[in-house]
Amino acid sequence: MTRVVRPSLLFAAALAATLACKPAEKALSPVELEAKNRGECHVVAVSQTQFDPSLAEEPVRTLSETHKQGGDVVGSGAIAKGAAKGAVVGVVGGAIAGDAGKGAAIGAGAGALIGGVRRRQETQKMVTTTRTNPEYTAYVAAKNAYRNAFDSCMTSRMTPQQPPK
Amino acid sequence: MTRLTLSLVSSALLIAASAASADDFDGQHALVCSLDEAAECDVDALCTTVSGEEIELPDAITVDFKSSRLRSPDGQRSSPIHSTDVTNAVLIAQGSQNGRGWSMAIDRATGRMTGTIAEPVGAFVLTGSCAKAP
Repeated sequence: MTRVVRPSLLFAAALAATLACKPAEKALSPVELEAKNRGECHVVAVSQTQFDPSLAEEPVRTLSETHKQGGDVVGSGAIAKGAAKGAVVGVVGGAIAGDAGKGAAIGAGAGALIGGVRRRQETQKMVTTTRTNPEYTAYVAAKNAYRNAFDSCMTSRMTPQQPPK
Repeated sequence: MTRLTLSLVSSALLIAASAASADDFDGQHALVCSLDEAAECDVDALCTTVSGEEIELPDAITVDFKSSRLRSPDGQRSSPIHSTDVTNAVLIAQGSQNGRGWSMAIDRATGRMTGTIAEPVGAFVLTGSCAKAP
């Protein structure tokens, strides 16, 4: 006598055996969980800020320019403008008082004429000015935004979930 | 101020000086002296031509004998005149400031001027022309 077994029963039995043998999903250790959260929060922060610190290249912090001393920015130019203004005011004041020359002297102060002559080598001296690179400033701002987004994401994941009431 | 402008000013002053008499250079009347050429000399007496702008010297200087001062046109800078010597042919003014000694000799007939500024590391030699201040 031949014993007949239905194929559907065989499949069901095999499935049950498979499920019985499959180990339950392993709970993640704290270190593994943190690594998982960090990876996911990195993706979230990059998405929110469009800044990826692992790919971004840090620009140079400062820019330097070298130019001849005595230009508009560096040297005695700005001081001379102030002194000239004082001299004009002095001339006007002196003219009112009846002595334009005296007024000019009062307004001008005591700038040396012959004593103020400088050797060409001194007036042609090159000076270097340094300023913050705007690209670096933008880089720092983007990096901070990424950091804030990342920290916020990590904090939300570390906070224990409230059980539903 | 460009060299062309300097030359025009100098020429005008020279013409004015030519028309003027020696009495204008008597050490009493104020003068306006314009700079034509300048040279900077080192301790080995090697000189190079420079512009007034390069050595921060004004294009024109007022010589005010009454207040005994040299003045820049804008009145910002000045130097004391320590002594004045007038001969028949030449007017000489001298002074010192900030460790430098200076002198200027003016031909009373023509107004032509040569000046020097001496310092321990060299000197400046200046030429120009002077006229009675307006």
